[in-house]
Formats: sequence, structure tokens, C-alpha cells
Amino acid sequence: MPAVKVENLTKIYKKRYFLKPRYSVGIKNLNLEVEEGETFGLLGLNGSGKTTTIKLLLGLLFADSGQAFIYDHKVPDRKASNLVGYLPEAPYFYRYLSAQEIIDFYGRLSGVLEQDRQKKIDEILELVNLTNNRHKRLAEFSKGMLQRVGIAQALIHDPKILFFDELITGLDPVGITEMRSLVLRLKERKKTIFLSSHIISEIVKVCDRVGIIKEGELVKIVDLRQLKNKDAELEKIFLSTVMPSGQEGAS
Amino acid sequence: MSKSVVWGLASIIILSVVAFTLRTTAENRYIYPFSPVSTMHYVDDNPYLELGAMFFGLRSMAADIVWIKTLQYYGGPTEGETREEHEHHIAEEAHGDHHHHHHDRHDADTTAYRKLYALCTRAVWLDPYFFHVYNIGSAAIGFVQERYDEAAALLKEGVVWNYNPNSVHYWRLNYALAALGYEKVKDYKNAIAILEKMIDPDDSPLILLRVLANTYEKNGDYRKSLKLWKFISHKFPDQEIKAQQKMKILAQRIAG
Amino acid sequence: METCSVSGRKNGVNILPIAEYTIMENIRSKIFYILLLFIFIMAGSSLVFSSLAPYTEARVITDIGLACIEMFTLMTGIFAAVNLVLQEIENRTIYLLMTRPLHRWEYIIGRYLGVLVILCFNIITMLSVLVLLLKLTTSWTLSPMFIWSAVAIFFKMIIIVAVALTASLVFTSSITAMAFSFLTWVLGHFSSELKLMAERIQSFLAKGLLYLLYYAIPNFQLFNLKDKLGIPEGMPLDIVSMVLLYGLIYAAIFLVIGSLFFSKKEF
Repeated sequence: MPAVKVENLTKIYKKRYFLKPRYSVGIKNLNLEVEEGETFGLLGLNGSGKTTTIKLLLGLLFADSGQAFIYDHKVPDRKASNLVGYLPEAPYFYRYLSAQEIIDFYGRLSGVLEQDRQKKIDEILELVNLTNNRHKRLAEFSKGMLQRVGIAQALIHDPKILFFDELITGLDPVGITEMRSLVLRLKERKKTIFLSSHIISEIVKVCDRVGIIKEGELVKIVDLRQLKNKDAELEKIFLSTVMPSGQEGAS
Repeated sequence: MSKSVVWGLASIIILSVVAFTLRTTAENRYIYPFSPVSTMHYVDDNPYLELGAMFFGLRSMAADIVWIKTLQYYGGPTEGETREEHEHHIAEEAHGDHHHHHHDRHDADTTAYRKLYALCTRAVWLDPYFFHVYNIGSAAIGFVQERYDEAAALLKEGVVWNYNPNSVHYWRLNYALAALGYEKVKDYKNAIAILEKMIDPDDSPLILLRVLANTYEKNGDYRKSLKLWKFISHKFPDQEIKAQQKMKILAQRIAG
Repeated sequence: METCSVSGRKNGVNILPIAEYTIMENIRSKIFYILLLFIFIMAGSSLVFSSLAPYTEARVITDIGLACIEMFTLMTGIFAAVNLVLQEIENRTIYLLMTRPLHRWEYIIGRYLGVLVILCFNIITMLSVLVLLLKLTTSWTLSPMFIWSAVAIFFKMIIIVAVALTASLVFTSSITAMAFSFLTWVLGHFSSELKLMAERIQSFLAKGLLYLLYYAIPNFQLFNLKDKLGIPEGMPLDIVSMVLLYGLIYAAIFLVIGSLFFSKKEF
């Protein structure tokens, strides 16, 4: 059974300007399968529908047509959220809580039992290297540290699938390296990882397969395991897919 | 329509019926205990206080404010009197060297403090259960300023709103009304009989004790008046000079 | 099936953690300094005014004190309720909540209860100061009606916080929601006048609309026991309990409406 399955998923955004509705496409007829243990990257320009896809899978948005599954749960489903961990783009946290408190809070919400919780928090704080700062309030945290808190909260309930939206956007080189090694460690632990990015060089370092999304449509799926010079080849494929025809030669 | 929406709408309907029933039952059994806005008969310079009181449910506090305004007014200069003249009078009274023709300004001039009744009415429109406005207000208007009809009107309002035969307050308002009637026709003997029932020296406000002392004097009961003034000067130290003055006059009357 | 159940996990009702962090959020914000400030305003103004009104000191302190308590909890209550969810949407902290195994109505109820706990604490704190003030400066004695009037203030908050929270979810604008809640508060106190207008007006349409408004808006005067402290017999307790139950149900209706709107909300 695939960990994530998307069938003909469509999302149209409606916005009202002076009572007149205006429509814009979020994603259109998206089909996708991600196998258990796989690291899948969604690559696309800004506004191409990466975040929309993830939000639909998490039940933050509701699809207009088509359906999506997390294992055998048709989303949105409360049970499916036990199986997924999510880190949104540039996440915000309650600044008045400490790292320890916030991870405990999300653990409670996910139903992690009281007796296991502290052990799990210790373990995860160790993994994201925040043990020494656990009692500091998040207001005092740097961007990189906050991102690590974000990873920690996504892991507290030991989910099978992780959704990382624009994981490294806005981080400094140290932060980027940290995040990359964290993702690789999670990969070793056989987690299914679904991430989105517009940075090709990062995607090739961690992903098994990449889906290229353009204006809400998944135009190509590339298996990186079959490429030799991943970076260069993926870039070429991406540009030829994303650029309007005629401009490829110019670049 | 999803299942949760159907459940939600169903529960809204059921809860609304229950809420409506509870509300109308409560409203039918407990009549709103204040006058509606259409009966607001007194408007001072502006009705903001009344409107604010009604829109925010602060009638009782608004009545307090009007009552404090009333007390300030009664303690301040009267119409046609400047602030300096008023302070001069107060200073005279404090030094005890006032002249007989205005030895008690409040007693003498029935046209002074003309707005008293209107202010009291305003306070009890906001809170008709405000006993002290009737009790103290009627004494000032009726017994002191000798505008008996206004005082009686105020007291009647109080008696109507506060009907409760088991309440001391209710009986005091009735006694005040009766005493006022005798006072008006100068039947001081009967007025005293009722005032003595109504006034509790340990509990009643100063103004009522002074009313009783003055009525004793008017009736020729100088000894009783002297005794009461002694009590007043004892209980209210700020009244000492005024009381000394009175006691001196009363002692002369008893001797002469 | 292996994928359906995850070991070491319970999925009970999730209201409590939401309520708890709401309480924590408030405790760690600056609201408590405002509370202290308000206690000073309450104590100061009631003492000043009471000194101007001989024989009625206790009454004046009680009236001003209870008015201060009510106004303070009303303002903090509406403000907190309106921003409760909108702020989380704006800050995007809502993403991490809505992707947890948490029913959306649980989130609404949890947030709501959290605010009520804070308001209850504020009322009790201010009320204690007020009682202390009365005991120290007057020969006042605690009456059951005094306690009931404070309880009724809390029940008014139960209603208005539900109204404000739901308004924020329906209008998705904190200013509109605040204005709506404020209007509800004012008209709710004016409701006996509304009824009188409805009874007297000739036009059938206007009559209908006024009656609709009258019954749609909670009758806050029924809860306004603090204005009735001067009435010797007070409000009979069976009616008080009926009114309080009405308040709870009214709030519940609004919470259901709010939850319905929220369940359709996309982030």
C-alpha cells in the first residue's frame, strides 16, 4: 500500500472582490503515489501548487474534486493525522512557551501517553540538538533553532510520514546543513518524507523521486536514483519543463 | 450536507427552543423592575447618564452619581449666590458668629436649592429602590426647605416602588409622609409623635435628627430639643459649633 | 490493520490541553498588569466617590466595584475571544493544531473554556479586593445576592465570549466581531425597551423585526443582578437558576454555530 496516494485532486481558490467571485487554480487533476520509506520531493516555482498539495493532504484545505489517501485513510481524516508529522513553511510557535513545553503540548494533542511522553521528548530534543536549550522560551530562539523545534514537534508522536514544506527557506548555511543531516537521519529510520522546495540542489541531496509541478499540474516525475549527474540533469529537466517553450534555448 | 452539519443544525434548533422557553418563563415570572425609557421625565443638561446606565446595565451606579451630584448641589451655593458668598456663609457658620436673619440658610429660604426635587427624581428614576434618596431628599426638600408638596411627591414615589410591609425602610417612608403632612399644617405635636417613631438616633442621618430637634423647638419642647442637640454635638463633632449656638439659644428660652 | 492503530496512543477528547495552553498564554501575557491597574482604579474611584456620599458608602463602593469588575472582564473578554482564533490563523500557529488528531469543535471549546477560566480568575481576584475594601471601610455584610450578582456577571461573560468568538469565526475580522459583540452587549441590556418598542409600533414588518431582534439577542437585564441589589426581596433564586441555565444554553447555541463555521474553514 502506498503511503500517500493522490487521485485526480483539484483545488480551485475562490476569492470575492466586491461580491464578484474570482477563481484561481490551486492544483488541477493531480495524480501521485509515494511509497512507504520513500523521500519524495515536490519541485516547482513559487505559487505552482506545492503548498496547496501538502495542505490538501493534511486536511487544512478541502479538495473540490478527486481524493487523496494517507495509507488507507481518505483525507481529511482525524485518524490519518496520527500518521503524519507536518512542518509548515516558516512555522510560528507560541513564543511564551519553552521548547520542552511546546513539544509536550503537541505530544498531548497527538495523544502520546503521559508515561511515554517525557522519554520521547528527551529523545527528540537530543535528536534535534536542543537538550541544552529546552527550558528557554521560544521568544529567545534563533531561526535555525525554531526550525529544529519544528522538526521536533513533527516527530513527537512518531509519525510514519513527514511533510516538510520549504524546509530550508530562510535559513543560513549552517541551518541548511543541519536540516539536511536531520532529513537524512530520518530517512535512515525508514520514515516516508514528502517535502516541497524550489531549490534544486537541496532536493537532489535527499530525495529519491521528484515531482515537478507547474501551475497546479504535476508535469513530470523524475526518479533521481536513475540519474548519474543528478544536479545538472535535474536542473535541465526542470527548466525545460517549467519554462515556456522557446525560452529554453535562451537559458 | 454532511452529517456533522445536520447534527449541528438540529442541536441549534433544539437548544433554541429550550432557551426560548426558559427565557420567556423567567421574563413572565420576573417583571423588569425599572421604569422604561419612555417614562424618563427629567433630563438635566443631558441624558447621557441615563442612556449609558440603560445600555450598559449600570442604573444603580448612575443613580449613585446623580445622588452624589445632588449632595454636592445641596452643599454648594444656591441660585443667586456666588461661590464667595457661599464660602463666606460656611465660614460664618463654622465660627459661630452668624446673624439671626440667616442663622440657618437652609431653614429660612424656601426658594433656595430649587433643583433639589428634580435631582432626587432623577436619581430615583434610575434606581427607584434607592432608599436614602427618599429618606434624606424628602427631609431636605420638605422639612428644611419647606416645599412640602415636592417632598410628599418624592415620598409617594418611594412608597409606591418599595411596597413591603415587612421592611423598616418602607415604614419609615410612610412615617415621613405623615409627619410631613402635620408639619405642613403646623401640627407639630402630631408631627413629633410620628417623627419619634421614625427616627432612630443611633441610625438615622444627621439631617433627620436636626429636623426632629427643630420641630421640638417649634413645638416649645425646648428641653427635648436641647437634649437632642447635645446628642448631635456628641455624635457629629463637625456639628459642635452649630449645636453650641442652638443650645445657648434654647437655654435662654428655657430660662426666660 | 497495522496502519490504522498506532500503539501507545490514546485519542480521547482533546479539549483540556487546548484550554490549558490558552490559560498559559494569558498568564504569560501582560494582561495581569492591566488587572492590577484596574484593581487600583476600582479601589481608588470607589473610595473617592463613597466619601462624597455619607450613609451610602457601602452602596457606592459596591456599585462602582461591580461595574468596574464587569467592564474590565467585558473588555478583556471580548478582546481575548475575538483574537483567540483569528490570531492563530494570522500567526499560522493554527496549522500545527489542525493537523493533529483534534476535532475542530474541540479546539473551539478548549479555547473558549481557557478564556473563561482566566475571566473567572479575574472576577474572583477583583471581587476579593472589593469585599476587603467593603469590610475595611464600612459596616457592610456579605449577602447572598451580592454573591449571586457576581456569579451573574460571570454568566454574562459566558454568553458574550461565546458571541464574540463565533462572530470572529463568521466575520473573520476582529474589528467587525468586536463591534458585533459590543452591540449585542448594549442591545442585550436594552432588551426590555426593545420589547416595549415592538409592542407599541404599528407597522407589522417593523414589529416582526423588533421581536426577532429581541429574542435573538440575550436579555442581559435578566443577569443584571447588581442593579437589583437595592431591591429588598431581590430576584427569587429559582428564577436566577432558570436565567443562568438560559445563559449556558444561549452560549452553547453560539458555540455550535461557531464550530459549524469553523469546520468549513480552510487555512
